[in-house]
Amino acid sequence: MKDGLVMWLIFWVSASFVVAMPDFTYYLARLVGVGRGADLIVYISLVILFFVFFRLMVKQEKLNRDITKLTRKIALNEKKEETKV
Amino acid sequence: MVFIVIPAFNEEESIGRVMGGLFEHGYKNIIVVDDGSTDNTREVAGSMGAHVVSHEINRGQGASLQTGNECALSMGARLVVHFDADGQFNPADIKSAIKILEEKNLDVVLGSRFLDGRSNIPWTKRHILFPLGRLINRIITGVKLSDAHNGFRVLTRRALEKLHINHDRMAHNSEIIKLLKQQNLAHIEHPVEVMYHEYGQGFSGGIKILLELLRGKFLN
Repeated sequence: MKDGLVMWLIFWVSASFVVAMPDFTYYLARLVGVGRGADLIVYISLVILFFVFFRLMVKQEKLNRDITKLTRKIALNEKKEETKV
Repeated sequence: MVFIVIPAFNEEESIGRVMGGLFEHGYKNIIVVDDGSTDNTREVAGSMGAHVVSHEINRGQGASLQTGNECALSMGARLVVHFDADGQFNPADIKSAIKILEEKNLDVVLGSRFLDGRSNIPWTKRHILFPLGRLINRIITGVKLSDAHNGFRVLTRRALEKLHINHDRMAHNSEIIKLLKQQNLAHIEHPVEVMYHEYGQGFSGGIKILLELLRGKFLN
């Protein structure tokens, strides 16, 4: 809970800072060798988006396998019940 | 005891005929894995005397085979035969496959439609798709086979206990071959007849299989 609060604070404070002083991103961009602050933000966003997309795909596959496990277990249990009766 | 495992998804039209053929050849223990069919596959198979295991929702052929394998093991199967529900295999091939498995004391016999001239394979499949599939499978699995994706298999209890199919959809063929090698299971290819009622999986099917294998690589 506390961790969450700290992270959100950092996020919103830095977001307001960038909005209030847009020139700051320029220095940040120069620092890592990118021409403009806006470009830096686009690059970072792309990296994050790709990463999230990829993670989601893998997660979905794992979810699929979990669903299969459940489906299989239910199917085999039903079969067992049937033969008992 | 020999168990026949048939994965079936909406196969009410053909499942009866397939089961009839198997009964005629003396195979009485048939497990039909109904993979969430929306038609009467389950009822038809059940009324004809199959052991029916039903997936509540559709999970794919690989998932169905694994369910069938586990069901067969729990019922005391000594040998399991994987067979198709759409009537493309010939039940007469089972006997000779089991014979060779027992004679040579093997763990697995894999069907191949290229070892004799009985199968009428569409030209584009024989000359373009299959050579490509063979090559890719050889790279992925490290095993050289004449027929990369054939649903006909005979497996011993020992083999089934060692194989766990994780790929739910169509990549299980490659997965099984890879596992055979990893687990050091003795196998051989055996000629089977494949009758083409329809074209089946095309090029896009192959791409899907590759993507499934790739995604699987990032798991576990």
